[in-house]
Amino acid sequence: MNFKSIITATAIAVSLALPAAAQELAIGRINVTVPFGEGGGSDTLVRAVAPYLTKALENEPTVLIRNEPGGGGIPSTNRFARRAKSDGSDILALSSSIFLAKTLKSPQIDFQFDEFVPVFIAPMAPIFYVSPTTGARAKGDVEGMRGAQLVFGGGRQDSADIMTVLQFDLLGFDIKSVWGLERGGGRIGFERGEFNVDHQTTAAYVRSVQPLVDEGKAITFMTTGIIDPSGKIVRDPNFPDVPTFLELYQKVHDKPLSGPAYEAYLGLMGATITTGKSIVLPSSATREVVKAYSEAFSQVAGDPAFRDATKESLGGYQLYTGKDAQALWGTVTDLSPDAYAWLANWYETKVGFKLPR
Amino acid sequence: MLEAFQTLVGSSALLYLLFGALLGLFVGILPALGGAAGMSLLIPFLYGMEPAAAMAMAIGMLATVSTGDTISSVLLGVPGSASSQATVLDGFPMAKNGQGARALAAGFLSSVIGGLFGAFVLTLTLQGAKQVILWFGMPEILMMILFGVASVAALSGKSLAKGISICAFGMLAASIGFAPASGEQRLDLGLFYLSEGLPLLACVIGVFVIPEIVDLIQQNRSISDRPSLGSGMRQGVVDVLRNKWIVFRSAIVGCLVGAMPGVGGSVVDWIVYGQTVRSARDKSMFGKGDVRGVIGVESSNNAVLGGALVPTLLFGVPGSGSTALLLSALILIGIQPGPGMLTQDINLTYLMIWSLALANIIGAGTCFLFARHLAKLTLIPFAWIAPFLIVAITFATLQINRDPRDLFLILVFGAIGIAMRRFGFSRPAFLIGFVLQQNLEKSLYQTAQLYSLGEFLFRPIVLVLLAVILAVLASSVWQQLQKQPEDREEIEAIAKTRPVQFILPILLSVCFASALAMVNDLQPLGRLFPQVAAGIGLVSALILLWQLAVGTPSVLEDQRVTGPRYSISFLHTIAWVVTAVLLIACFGFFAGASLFLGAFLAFEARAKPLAIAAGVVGIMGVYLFLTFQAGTYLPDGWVLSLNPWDYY
Repeated sequence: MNFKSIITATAIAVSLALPAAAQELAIGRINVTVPFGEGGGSDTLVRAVAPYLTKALENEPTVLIRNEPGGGGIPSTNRFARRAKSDGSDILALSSSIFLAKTLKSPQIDFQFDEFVPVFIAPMAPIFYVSPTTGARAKGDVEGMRGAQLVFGGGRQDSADIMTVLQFDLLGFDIKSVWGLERGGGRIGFERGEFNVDHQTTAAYVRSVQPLVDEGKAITFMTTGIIDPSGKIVRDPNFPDVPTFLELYQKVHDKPLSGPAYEAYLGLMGATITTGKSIVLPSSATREVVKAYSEAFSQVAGDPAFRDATKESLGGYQLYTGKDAQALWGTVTDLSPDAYAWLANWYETKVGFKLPR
Repeated sequence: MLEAFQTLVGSSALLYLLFGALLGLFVGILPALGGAAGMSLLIPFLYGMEPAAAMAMAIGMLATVSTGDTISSVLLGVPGSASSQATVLDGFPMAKNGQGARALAAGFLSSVIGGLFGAFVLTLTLQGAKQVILWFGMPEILMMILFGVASVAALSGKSLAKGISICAFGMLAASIGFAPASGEQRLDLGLFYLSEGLPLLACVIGVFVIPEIVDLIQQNRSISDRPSLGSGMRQGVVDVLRNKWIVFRSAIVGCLVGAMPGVGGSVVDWIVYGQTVRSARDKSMFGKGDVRGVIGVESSNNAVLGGALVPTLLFGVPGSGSTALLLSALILIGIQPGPGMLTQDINLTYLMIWSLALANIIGAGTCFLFARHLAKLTLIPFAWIAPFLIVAITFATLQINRDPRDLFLILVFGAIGIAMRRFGFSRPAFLIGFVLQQNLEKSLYQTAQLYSLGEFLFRPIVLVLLAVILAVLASSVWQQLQKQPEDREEIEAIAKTRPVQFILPILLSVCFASALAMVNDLQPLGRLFPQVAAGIGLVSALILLWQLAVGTPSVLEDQRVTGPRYSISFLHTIAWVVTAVLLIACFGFFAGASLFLGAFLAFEARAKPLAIAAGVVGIMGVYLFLTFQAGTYLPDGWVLSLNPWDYY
């Protein structure tokens, strides 16, 4: 949006008293709640979507974005779950950190996953790379790395960064984790040799890690892969020749990951990757509203101009709408007591972090 | 490089740059709003803009904030933004002595020199920066942060015990919330509100701005006592040329500190001020209107941005609050900061450097040309300025988390700040503690995890920094001991109010002791840092209490006795600030602020109804326009929501 279109949008917003000729949706304005401040990942996505969404709905409603930072986005999401209108005038941008807080049973959360209906999901998967000093020579070279002391620098123990520690630990490595770093800081530490394992999202990887790989200073190691709507874990479409963690696990242990550990892994993966960036309606929304939004978002996701504009920020992954989005949503569930107990125990012994019981 | 210049000058980017630069001046002049606030106003507009235009606008805005803020610091005695707090120390007294124009001219000229120097350094370092930043591992960053902490000694004022205890208090306040090493919640009193820690901006507004506003209202100076611009523009320019070494040195420090991730612009002015005072031969005029104080600070705070852009652009690691927002802005317009800024995006990088340089020239040029008009600000009676300042800070506070509870936080820290100001506790020392806590704790823990003591002590840069820190500490402590005893009469006068002087140290001791008790059941990694901070704080607070009890002259301080006479009572003034907060919390920003403004102007300024209406409608119009433009909203009131638009 440039100045002119914002002023136009503002003018429209001011003149909202005029009744809108409702066609598909009987609303003249959509309020998008972003439970984070301006400029974050969710905010970027919503601002990218807004103009396309307006075009895709027949009466071209104005999209207003309401940022509600604070409390890791939880208070705002709670409020939305309680108070959002069912006529489609309220939608919410969710991000992986909120899903993860829910999976890890943050006591502040008082909503359930089924209180939302997804209309748009953009998965966002990390790629893992290691330093040649670990002994690794090629993608997925677990054998070469055997016996290496891995060191990883992450943000918060209860963020998606935990996946790196969990996966390398399950592969049988001794991995030490140091916390309190920004993602960019972890990579610089990697370049300085303070860390020998790191991960980045596709966009950051292509930009900052690929040059290191080309110079031989980093070895692309694995991905988590992504979950497709049928619930199957497949290789990351951006890196089809890089093995997934589960493939490596099977190779190392001669049997697939199973039991509560598998369930916990799947739960974390669903929360941090599959539904990474989603736009949802309250589940109270009527069927017509859900249908109108699903169609509008399919149109947005299919628009080459939109794909092009968001290639960098969304990493060029498949975007899910309609039934696919709802099927994917179903893969994100609360952990069973067994799996949660396993995860809590793992957290406490490996990271020294206590999950709420 | 030239190509980038042609892009900038030959396209609409130049217009955006101009707009950004003017916005930056405006934000800079408005007290309490700084680069971060300006960026958060700009970001919503950037989406979808041409990257060149967007960057020109953002950089233009950031570059001129620290030029514009000189005006309010010098003429009003209220820092225009966090980076010019130290300008007030000498700039305001100069204005009171009729040398406002001289201070401003010196400030503007050193600003533009500092800014250009920053742009120059940025250009140079871009070539070799990658290597340099790779040399700065965690141990080196830790030492840089310790260097910042060591400056507390120089900022403590008369009593080192006061400086250390208040710095420890800042660290303790900042360690509320998430413990980075163990991931525990600590010191949050069981409140979810505190789980993300205290918002920096709210604490800064409380400690630095509220006491100044209260003081302004209390003094209720009539127009004739207020500093006029005076003359001496030319003298100011001569001053800068005469002190070119200070300009140069401060600009270097500004760049260096700016490039330190996480330290940023809110501390650099104090570091530089301390250094300027330390290195001056004749120190007698500092704090009473020494132009060198203005020159050093202003040259450094414009140079900060050049330094801060180095890690921001090359590594995606921002050096300050406003560059953190700039980073999100870059990503927003589709640019991934990183080494790619030196290859694919080199033209954009150069364009940003040109923007930085041009904006500094535009900013200082505008200020030089319009200084006389801008100075008319000071002819407005304080009864008119104060309510608008209060509204401005509540607006800035609500912008942080959109949470009305933050308003009460600024009241709490305002009360502490008032006590600190009155009893001679260094507020910059508090801020340094508060700002550096997180980085200090993180880098201590990370360094300890990754390096053994031996490895740590055998790194050459660490050793150099260690020597510098020790030298700085030794010289400040030595200077502290050299202080001349004050005149007897004054000491005796101050000693009369000794009972109230006990209040703050006692409260601090209670805070430290209860913090020690509260963190006791955390994991060792989670409690170590607050324990050390509270422990050091407790010891120095107890020493302070003992010194007060025996009447050591260096700890006796009471601005009430030594400072200006007040014509309006303290409680009366505070009641207005509390009223503003209550009204805004109850009825939302727009309705609450309008009610407050109307009431204040009617009772305090005795304004005519028409003037009140014009004031209220005018300023609320500006805020409505800003919020609508930014597409943001402000929180609803608790009692009755009178926001102009509702969402649910």
